Amino acid sequence: MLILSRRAFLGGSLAAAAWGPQPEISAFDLSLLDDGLTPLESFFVREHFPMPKVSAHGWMLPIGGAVAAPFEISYDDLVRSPRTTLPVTVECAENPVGGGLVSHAEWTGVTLGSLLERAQPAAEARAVRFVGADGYSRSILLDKALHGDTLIAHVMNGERLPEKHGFPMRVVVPGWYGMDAVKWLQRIEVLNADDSAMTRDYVRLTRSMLLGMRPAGRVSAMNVKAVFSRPVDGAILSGRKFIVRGAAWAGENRVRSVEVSADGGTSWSAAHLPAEAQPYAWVHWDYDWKAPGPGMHELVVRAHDEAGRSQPAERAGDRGDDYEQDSWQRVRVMVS
Amino acid sequence: MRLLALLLMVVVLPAQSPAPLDQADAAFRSGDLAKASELARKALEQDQGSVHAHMILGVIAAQATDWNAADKHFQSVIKLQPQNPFGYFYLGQSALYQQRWEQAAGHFTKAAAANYPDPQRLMIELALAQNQSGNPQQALESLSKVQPPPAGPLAAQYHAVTGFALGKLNQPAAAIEAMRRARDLDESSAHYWEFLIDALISADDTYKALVEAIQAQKKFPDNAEIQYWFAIASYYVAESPLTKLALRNLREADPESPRVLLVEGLLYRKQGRAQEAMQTFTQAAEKGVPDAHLLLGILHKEDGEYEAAEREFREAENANAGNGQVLLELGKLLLVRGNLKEAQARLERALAAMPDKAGVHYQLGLLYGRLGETEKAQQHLRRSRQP
Repeated sequence: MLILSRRAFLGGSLAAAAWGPQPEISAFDLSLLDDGLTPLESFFVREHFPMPKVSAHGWMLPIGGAVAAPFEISYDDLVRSPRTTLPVTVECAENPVGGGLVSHAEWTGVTLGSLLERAQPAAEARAVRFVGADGYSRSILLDKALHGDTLIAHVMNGERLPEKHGFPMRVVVPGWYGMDAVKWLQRIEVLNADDSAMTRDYVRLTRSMLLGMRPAGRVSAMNVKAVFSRPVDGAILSGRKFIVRGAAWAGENRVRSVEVSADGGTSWSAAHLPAEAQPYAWVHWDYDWKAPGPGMHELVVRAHDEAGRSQPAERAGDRGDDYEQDSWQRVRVMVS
Repeated sequence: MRLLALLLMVVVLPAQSPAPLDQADAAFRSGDLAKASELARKALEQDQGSVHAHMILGVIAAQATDWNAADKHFQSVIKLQPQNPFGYFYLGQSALYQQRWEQAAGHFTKAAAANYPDPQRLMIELALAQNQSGNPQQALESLSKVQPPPAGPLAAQYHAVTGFALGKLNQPAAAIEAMRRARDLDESSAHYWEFLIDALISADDTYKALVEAIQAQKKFPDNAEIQYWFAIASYYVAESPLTKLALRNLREADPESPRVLLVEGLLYRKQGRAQEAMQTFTQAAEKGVPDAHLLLGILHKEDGEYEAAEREFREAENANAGNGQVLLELGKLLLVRGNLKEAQARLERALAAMPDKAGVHYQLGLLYGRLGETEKAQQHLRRSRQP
């Protein structure tokens, strides 16, 4: 099986433009944020390669590599295995500030740890690689793979995993950016060493005058981030009072607070969190705003989490990659 | 925007009177309307025949939506200069704002006869007034006398009036196309979006209506009309889960609106909670929401209570005799109940209102079949199967 790196993927996508179907990239429209789960048809899609056609009939998941007891398990056996259900917000590592490459679903599946325990990873095992039927692959550290919340999911929002979200099985790595949540899972390999792709793809890059562009660690756990769902940038309001709304998340941590500024970030007011924040899941927030008068107004939002992290005002100037765009979101609205 | 245009028109008028008027003009240009008003009044005390002073005072009054005062000054302009095109134009604008459509059309027509210097703008305003006063064909004729402006709000207004008129003339596809152009040229007008969504729903293009409504609810998050249309569009798309969200938005935009009840009822209906839907529609009907009768009629009909359904459909017809959907539902029911003569009257009026609607053709096919008019029946049934 050919395992394609992200770089190869970029080449591949160019080729796809010329030769065939393109990978789908579609965002969730945050203005449609409701108090429930993101509907399946609205959940964001970020494919690296065009969606493969995979049948559950005869589908087997091999778990091998640096393990004492490699084995294969069928779709039916996985579905019959003990289930865990978790509400998890997934955000694409490339999601821009205020962007909709983020959604929230309830995932049901088998814990990856239970499968790995059965395979018995070697003492020197360090990482686990997931290979998708589309040719995309990612590896995560063994510790995270063994975490009781990391899932091989086959149910999404109570329904069979839809094709475009990875049927028959996909990985769900709660609290981590979506690049590790490999869809259309084809096999799992335990690795004795870090996968070279782990230090090549989805890594932070820093720029310096002396050293040029240098890697600065892999992208994994999600940062704390708050976004507006309404009003959106460019909205026109006809009244002075408006309930500003949005969502905030903090990856493996809990959101502690969300704040809104109506003066460009000079002063801040606490937003209301109608539910208790949980790890992995976004929490909704709202804020009763009274516009001081007609004209253009800028609203800003930021969040803080219980680990003491805060959303930064600006992106670090030396970042040379496009990942983890988590600075304050600003929207400009016209009050007529 | 119109008032801004008024201001611009005024500044091109020659100032040819004594000093207070010059000062009034300068104050007006600088935006000091209180001073401009005071000085213009002084100018009028000195010269009661000062057209320019009346014009300044008329525009200032219009800005303050004091239409009586505005009209008085613009009438004075006409009295002093019977061929002054600006006087007629501003009187037309004032009448438009007061929704006196026929009066507005009359003033604009006189402005045209007096060679108003901006015929493009004049014809668009005239067409709007004509359409609103129930003369869509005249409106289209007025618009045909000028080229559509290439860009900007006036261009949008040109296409919007075209769309409104075509809608009234039961040409839904062309109306939708025109309104889409208007909306693309001026996204800040909620009215264009409302019309577009409504027209798409009426044309059974509910997916496209919902796509437009999603964009509109983002652009105008506290506009109750837009949130209402968002709810209606999402209701008609069976698999759309957005009706609940639209209801929340509508409640926040206009909590007192009886249409909140209507949307609540639609949500219940979508959730299969027929009894709660019935109760909520009944409350909405009691509060005067005309569409509530239509929905109550549909619920009664589904329950096999034809008498109650007919009563509700007739109420809906009384409230809005030109509503194609109401006529279709009433016609269908009357046909089921064997009242062919009345059914025919409703279905033919429904056809006039919705000439492309497959459901109307289908019902007319059934009706003519029962009336023994086989050829007509076949024609309509064939038409109902066309995409």
